[in-house]
Amino acid sequence: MTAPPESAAVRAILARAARRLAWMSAAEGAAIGLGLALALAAAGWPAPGAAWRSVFAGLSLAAAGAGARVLTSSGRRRHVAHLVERRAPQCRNLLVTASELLARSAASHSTPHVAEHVRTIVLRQAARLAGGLDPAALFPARNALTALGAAAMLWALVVSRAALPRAVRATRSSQPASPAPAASITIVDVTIAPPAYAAAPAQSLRDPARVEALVGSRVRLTVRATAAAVSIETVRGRQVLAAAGPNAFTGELLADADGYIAIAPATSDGRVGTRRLIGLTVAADAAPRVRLTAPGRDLLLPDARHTIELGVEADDDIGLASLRLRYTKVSGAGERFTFAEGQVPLEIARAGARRWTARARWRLDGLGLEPGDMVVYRAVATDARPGSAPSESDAFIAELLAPGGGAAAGFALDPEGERYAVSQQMVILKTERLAARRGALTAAAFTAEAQELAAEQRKVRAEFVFMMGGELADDGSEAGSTDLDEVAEAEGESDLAAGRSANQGQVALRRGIRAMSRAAAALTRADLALALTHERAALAQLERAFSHARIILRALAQRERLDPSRRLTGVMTDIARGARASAEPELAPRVTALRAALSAIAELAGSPRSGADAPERALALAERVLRVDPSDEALHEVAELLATAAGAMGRGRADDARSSLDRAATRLATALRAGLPQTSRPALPPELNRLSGALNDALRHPRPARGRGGA
Amino acid sequence: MTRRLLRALAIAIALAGAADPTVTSSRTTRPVVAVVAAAPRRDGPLAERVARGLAKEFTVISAPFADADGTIIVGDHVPLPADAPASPVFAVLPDRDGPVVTLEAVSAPARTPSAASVPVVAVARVTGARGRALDITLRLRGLVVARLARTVVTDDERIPVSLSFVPAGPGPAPLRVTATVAGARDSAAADVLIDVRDMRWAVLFFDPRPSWMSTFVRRAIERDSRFIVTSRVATSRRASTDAGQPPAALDDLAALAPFDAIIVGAPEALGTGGVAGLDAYLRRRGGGVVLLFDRRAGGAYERLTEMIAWAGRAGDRGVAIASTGTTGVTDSAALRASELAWPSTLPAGAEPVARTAPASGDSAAGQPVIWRSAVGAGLLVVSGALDAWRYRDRSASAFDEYWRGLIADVASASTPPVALALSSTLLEPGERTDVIVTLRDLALRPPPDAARPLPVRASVSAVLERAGEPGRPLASVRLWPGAGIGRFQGSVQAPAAPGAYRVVVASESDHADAPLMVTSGVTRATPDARDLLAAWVSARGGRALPASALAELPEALHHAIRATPRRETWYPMRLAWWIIPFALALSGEWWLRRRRGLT
Repeated sequence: MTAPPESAAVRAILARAARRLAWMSAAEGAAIGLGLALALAAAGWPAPGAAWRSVFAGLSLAAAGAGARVLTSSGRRRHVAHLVERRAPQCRNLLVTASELLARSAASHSTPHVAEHVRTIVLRQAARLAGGLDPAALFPARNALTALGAAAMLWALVVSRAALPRAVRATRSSQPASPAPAASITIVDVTIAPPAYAAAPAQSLRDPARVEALVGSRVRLTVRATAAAVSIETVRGRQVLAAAGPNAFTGELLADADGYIAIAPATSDGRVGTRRLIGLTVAADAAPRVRLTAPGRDLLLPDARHTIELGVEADDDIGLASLRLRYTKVSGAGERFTFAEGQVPLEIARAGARRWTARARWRLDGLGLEPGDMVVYRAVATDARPGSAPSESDAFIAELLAPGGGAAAGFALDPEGERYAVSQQMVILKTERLAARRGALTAAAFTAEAQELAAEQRKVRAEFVFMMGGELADDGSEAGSTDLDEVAEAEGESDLAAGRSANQGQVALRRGIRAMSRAAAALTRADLALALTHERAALAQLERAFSHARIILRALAQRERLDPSRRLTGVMTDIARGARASAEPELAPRVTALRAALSAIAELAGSPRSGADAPERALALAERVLRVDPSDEALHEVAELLATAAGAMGRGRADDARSSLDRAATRLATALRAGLPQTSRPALPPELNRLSGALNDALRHPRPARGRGGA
Repeated sequence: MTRRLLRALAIAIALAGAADPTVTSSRTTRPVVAVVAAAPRRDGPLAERVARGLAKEFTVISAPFADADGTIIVGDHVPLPADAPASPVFAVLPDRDGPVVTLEAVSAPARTPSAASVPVVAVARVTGARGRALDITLRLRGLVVARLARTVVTDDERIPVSLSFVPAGPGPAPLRVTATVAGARDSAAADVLIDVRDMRWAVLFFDPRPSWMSTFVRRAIERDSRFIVTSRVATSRRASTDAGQPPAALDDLAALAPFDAIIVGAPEALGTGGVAGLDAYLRRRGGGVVLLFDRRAGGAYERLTEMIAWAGRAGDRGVAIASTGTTGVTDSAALRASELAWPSTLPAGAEPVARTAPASGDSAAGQPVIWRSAVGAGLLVVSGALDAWRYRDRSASAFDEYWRGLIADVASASTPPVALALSSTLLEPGERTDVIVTLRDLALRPPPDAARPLPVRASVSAVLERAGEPGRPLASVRLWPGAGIGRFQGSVQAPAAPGAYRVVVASESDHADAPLMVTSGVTRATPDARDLLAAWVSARGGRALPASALAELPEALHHAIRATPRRETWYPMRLAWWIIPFALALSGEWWLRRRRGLT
């Protein structure tokens, strides 16, 4: 049986109404779900920053709300005819009746207790009535859609905020109140490229507190910073780093002196962020050291048919570049000297880049030396540093004995040895032999031989006095020969103090001469034990003099004898009572600067929490300390501690900052103490001083005891 | 009958009242004891415990009370002021459980030049902390400027430490020394105030003939900013080389008075006038004189040194000379000399300043080459390191540092025209400190002739003013003549407002001032004087008990306090209660008379 068209019309209107109610319920449920999502977002779920989580959670809750609402309203929709009747009272229960008739017919396919014509009439009239009904008017969806729209808009707003980056949010939120965030440094990479001649690999460091580099190294900085520009400041000046990509800056500097690198980021409006300080220690390239190991002494040769076996050693901290042996041939006499330079080929053995040795057999007969000529030779080494001065060894002399240039009487010459020292050694040897023969000699013979030795000793002494320019003139008396001329010696002190005679040789030689005088006096008295003591002391001083300053032998040679005719030729009337300007105390800029820094640390420590510029002040102070003496390790340490304190201040860690400041102050005070004298002891009260003096007077001048009856 | 009795009673009361009889009786009362905390802040809780324990059997007064029957001192030192507590005196010593650290003493110079490091010497006593670490810090306004760590070796140890303070600039420097032992509950602290000044000492170098020794010492002093050097070198009888404006001779005390120290080179060339001038300078000026010999020779100077004879040594080998520690010069600042002279016998009262090294191996070993002696109120230093100048190179000796230190000591010991001393420079608000002023010219003048005493006239005034506000005195300080001529003393009370103050003393054209820091929470060194306290209480009839034996205290007190009966006189008729029986007797007698119809 086919359904009559009236029933279809009734069913259609009821279905439309039910569907409308269903999606209205879904809209309401979705709005409730989004409202719940809003509440959860306000409570912090899901976590900010994960946008997709927020979207998923919101949509899920909306869907769940819609489904739940549709389910919960399903019973209501089953009685949709009632709902329509309630909204359209003109139906007068007709639609409900028709709905029930349709429901019964659908259930049993027959309506036995309802007459067919009645059923038809009801359905026809209901169909006619339904034609005039509009579900949209009966069930307006405005409220449900408004709720859904409002919830969706709020939810979308929250989700979009959560989806934005934090920095952007902070920027946007702070835009009305404050300017852009300060610039900051994230990472500092340092690459140290040693100079090419060092042939050493480059070294890379990340965020170092201190950089150590060989002089001449290139220090490349790569700074990652949230900044518009980054500049560096060193003791040489300021330099702006080049941009090398987003938030990356690079630059390079030459490590030529101790100092520091202060890296400062800046924003586009010129505001400088927290700086970072890196200490820079530059290691100098030491000059090569070169020594003549053989023969290692001056030679006095009888003729030119002689071969000298030469040995040379050289080393360097980085690497040697060359090693040569140079000589100067000195010919002539009087005021006519000729000089000729030359080089001796060496056989070099390289034990590595840093240490070389060399040998040579040097035949002198090819030099055309005449008696009285000499050659001065020295080894010369260079390292690979461009422009570095060559290093020279001590120079030695090989001299051909001139006719008539032999030793004076009593001066024992050994052409192969230390001639002056050996002459004194001969005196010692003779004295020892005499002492050994003492038992075999008579007293008179012993004394006579001792006095002969005394004469020999005096002659040796006279050679040295002569060599010193005659300043220690022997007046012939024993008393005079045992003392130095104090005034002459003291006059030389100022030269020594001023460094003009930067050698200990003169002093040692003078002491040696004095010891010889004492030895001569002891030999005259035939006191051999005492004489030996003084002779050995003289020998020790001679050896010391010649080892310290070989120039003595040459500077005070026979050719440079003093001119006595010029003595006492000054204007005596210039001598008058005079005023000497008071000497000014030594200024110690280092101490002054460090004391100022210590004061600044104390001031900073007084208020580590207060002041937003405290980290910057601490860093500036670290720079100040480094500027005082960039090569001082202790000051580097102080600067590092100040930089650490600045970092702690920036992070709001007041306790850590205070601890670092304490350590910086203690270290700085220790460094300062070395340059300051210790204060004097506290003075006693005047009455105690007076009492002490009175006690001394009483102890030293006791009053005579009075008799019972009194005086 | 009753009526008569009542009448008689009333009359008897009236007569007794008029007679006012006295009654003397013998009674025994509860003893009164005073409980005093030696350090109220630290020992207060224990003192309260002691007072509670004694309250059942004694009348306890928690304060010094002169009329008490006994006194209990709670603490480990004699309380100040310790003026005549009631005897017998008992002491309750705090228990030492676990590691305890105290600072027994902290010493530092009251005044120092700013261009010097200042030693701050502290003595810490540590008990029960063997093997633990002792940490001592020196703080300037809270900032740690020096730190030392030591390991405690014994169970009861006194550890002296020297911390070095480097002044950052002139001004009063309040310092706090803190001692902490790992694992201890409490730390110890003590405050000290140092007056840092840009002070310079005026030094005169006077050479009656040129002397290398004096010349090189002078050069070392001239390069030190703590000194202002004036010099005169007599190059011949009528010629000299001067720097500054030196006196022409040493015989004028007025010309020498401005100098804090006089260094004489070649003193054997001085005449009697010069020596007399130096003697007056030492005795009446209280200055310091240093005689720098460069050879052994007699002369008029012997009147000053009062030596019997010189001994000496000459050789070609330099001998090390080390400080004996009697001055601020450290041992590391040693001299070296090959020609030496020393007194064959040190004059009475003299003491060595530097000796030759013991290992020098000859007769010069351990000899007092540099020595000093008090002459009047002044200080005389004699150097027999004849050629120490030859070894002035830094590699050979500390020539410059040694003489700078020694001459700084001598100059700082010089008596100023007005000497001002405060018993304490760090005070709590309202606390008092003693002010002691010494006028040099009066105090050091020659003793007057007994037959013709000279009148003494002195003008001195003292005020308290806020630091940085000179000329605006907050209060004047009354000074009274003290013990000795030229000595005055007074007392000043710290203002209520914390801050920096100065006490300024003026006498004619001279003046002196000293800083005074007023702050709350001042801590001072607390010497642990248990032995002294035990002896002190024992001398007063008591004994010292540890806090753990507190239960024994009442019995010990009873033992020590003689509970002698007290005779008391009382007046029985002076009781107001007598009016009641008197009135009742009269009223009863009157009522009985009325009842019987009598009038």
